[in-house]
Formats: sequence, C-alpha cells, structure tokens
Amino acid sequence: MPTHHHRQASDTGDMQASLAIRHKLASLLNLAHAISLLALNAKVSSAQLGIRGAVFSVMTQEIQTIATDLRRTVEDVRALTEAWTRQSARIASLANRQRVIANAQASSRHPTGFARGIAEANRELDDLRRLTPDMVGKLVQIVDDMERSLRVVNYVTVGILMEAERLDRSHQGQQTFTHLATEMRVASTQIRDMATFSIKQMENLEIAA
Amino acid sequence: MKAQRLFQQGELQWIVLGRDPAKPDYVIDTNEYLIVHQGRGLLMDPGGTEIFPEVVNGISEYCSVDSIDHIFGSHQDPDILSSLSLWLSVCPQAKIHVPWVWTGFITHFGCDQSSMVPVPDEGGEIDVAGHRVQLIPAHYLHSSGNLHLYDPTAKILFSGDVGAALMPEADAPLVVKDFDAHTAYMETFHRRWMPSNRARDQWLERVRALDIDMLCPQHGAIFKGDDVQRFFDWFEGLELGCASN
Repeated sequence: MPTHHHRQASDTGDMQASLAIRHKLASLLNLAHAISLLALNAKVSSAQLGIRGAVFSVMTQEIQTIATDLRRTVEDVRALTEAWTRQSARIASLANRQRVIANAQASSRHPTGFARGIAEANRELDDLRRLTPDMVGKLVQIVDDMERSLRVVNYVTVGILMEAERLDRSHQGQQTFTHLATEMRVASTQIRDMATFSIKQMENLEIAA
Repeated sequence: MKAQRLFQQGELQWIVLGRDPAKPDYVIDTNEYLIVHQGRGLLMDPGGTEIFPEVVNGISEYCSVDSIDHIFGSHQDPDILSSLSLWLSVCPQAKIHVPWVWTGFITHFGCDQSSMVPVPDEGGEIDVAGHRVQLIPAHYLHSSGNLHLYDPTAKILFSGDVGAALMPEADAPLVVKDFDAHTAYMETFHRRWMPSNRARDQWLERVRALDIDMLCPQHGAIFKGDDVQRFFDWFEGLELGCASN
C-alpha cells in the first residue's frame, strides 16, 4: 500500500512526466514541417528527372505521408497531455485539500465533522487515479505509431540512397536526394529519441506507482 | 489557450498566453507572460488554480517546465498567484519574486518562505540566464505593494493591472486594434481598481523615461507602438479612485 507521501510524489510525477513528454514532442511539429518541405523539393527534382525520377516520386509521396503522420502524432500528444495535466493538477489540488482537512481533523475536538469532506475528497481522488492507466495506454499507442513511422523513415531513407547512387554523380538531382536522405536520417534519430524518452517517462511512472 | 510569441531575438523570447476557452465563465480572463532566455524561464503572474493546467500545458511547448527558474508576482491577488503551490510542485527550484510587503500573505497560497525573494519598494532586477530585467515600482496601482517588469532588450513593459481591460468577447484579439474603442473596456476597471492619482502620476513619470514598444497588461489586450503613448495620455487624464461613475 503506497504511503500518503509516496502517492503525493506520484501525482506530481504524473504531471511532470506529462509536461516533459509534451515539451519534448513539440519539436516533432517542426520536424514534420521540415520533412514536408524537403519532400516537396525532392518532388520537383524527381519531375525534372522524367522517367528516371518515377521511383523518387513514389518515395517523396511516402515522405509526405510520414510528415502527415507525425503532425497527427503531435496533435494526439497535445490532446493527451492536456487531459493528463488537467487530471494531475486536479489530483494535486484534491490531495492538498485532503491533507489540510486531515490535519484539521487530527487537532479538532470534534473530529467526526470532518469525515464527510475527507470521504468526498477520497472518492474523487480514487476516480481520477483510475483514469491514469487509460492515459498511459493511449501514450503506448502513440509511441507504437512513432515506432511505425520510424521503420518507414528508415526504409525510405535506404531506398532514396540506393536510387541516388544510380544517378550520374554530376546530376543535380543526386545532391537533392542525398541531402533528403541525410535529413531523413536526422529525422529518424529524433523520432527514436522521442519514442525512447516517452518510454522512459512511462517506466518512471510505473516505478513511482 | 492562445499562445503567441511577442518577441524573439537570438536566444531571447517573450510569449503571452491568454483567452483560455476551457476557463469557466465565472473566472476572470488573465494573460500570462513568459520570458525564455537560453532555455531558462521567467514566468510572470502565473494565474489562479483554475487555469493552471492550461497555462502549464501552453508553456511546456516553449520551455521545459523544470527550467523555470523565476516566478514573478506583481502583487498578491488570487488571479495572480493562487496557483503557486501547484507551480512549485512542478518547478520546485523556482524563486518567487514578489513585493516584500506581501511575502507573509503570499505564503498562505502554500509556498515555503525559502522560495521567496522579497523585492524592496524601490524595485530590483531578475537575471534569467544572464539576461537582466528590471522590476519597476508601481505601488498603489492597484495594490499597496505592486511591481511591474521591464525588459530593455525586448522593450516590453509587463504592467500588471495597469492597462487592463474587461473584454466582452472570450476570444478577443490579444493586441489592441482600435485604441479609442478599447478605452470603453478599460475605464471602469481603472477608475475602480486604481486608487491614487498621485501614484499614477509618479508611475507615468517613471515609465515615460523608458523605451517601450509593447505594454502588456495582465487582463485584456496588449498595446503596441503608438498605442503605448496613447495609453499613457489616456491614463493621465483619468480620475482614479471612484466607486461609481
């Protein structure tokens, strides 16, 4: 059975984890915009290549889809962390109220009068705490989506590099696609970092609980 | 909650948060301001408990909440600082800069005396990762111990309740578009909440000496460019300390 102090620390920990994830994932939106812009440039280059650019065209389309998925992920994280922070703040306020009432009860000559207030706070706290596993479950889904995006990013990056190798070294298109592949590798690292960070936050929450 | 970047120069940013659609109607609308410099934060008048989740969520998109080193409270009102204990639960290292006269009162919101930095009547400075901002005396505007915050680099004056307006629409623009029309939302507020013409005149003398591009109140809309001077002139001509019109 967790002690009151541990519970309080865990409630605050929920909020800190939620805020940390939100802060970290905010940069994913910039990444999605950057990828989208690169893909647009690459699309123009693939059109200039004519028939030889057909494979690139398919891949840039795939990259646009990744960018859209990333934007959706950011929106999902925003919605989730908003609800999560609201819930954690409510829990922290209620826990504080509960503590104040319990202290007043301990020093009162008429302790029975406080029972109703404490019971109400307890009930509301229990209801709110029951929602936490749902929040963590939704975050697991979001991390799964990120990892799926990561696999596609890696696959597309290798494909672009292989195709770019086939182009004449002097061809301007090769530089565009090599640059795109480099940026996609950066994106891959960032997505992996973010997924790892989110998993670590969830593990910390489980340890705290 | 709307968040808007007001200023950016290198590693220095000013962000305003306001117009919270999730806020209950019975809670007065407030603007919260954040300075981020080299990844460290200073939060001004963080607001009440009711709006804490929206403010903390909004801020976390601009800086990590545990990087907020300073919280500035212009005065002691609940719409300024009643969320203090919640803030200290997510950024326990933050120092709370408040007018010295209110320290013993503000600790009632649930914060340790050791977190408090009592600011003397003559004002002071806050250092945000090497970026210095000035705390300007604004006593009796409206509170008996009241401070404003001036950033000489951004040329922004955070003016607490001075310049505040009670806007009729929940999603009113964050910046004043038509000054003359805007005075209708400010007049009653200033006449009623600002008690002293003498304090107003002293404040005007002080802030007119500053180079200000933006005047940012805690309620209502932000004044930019020529509207800053317009506001000073309008405020100067107002009879303060009236309980009825």
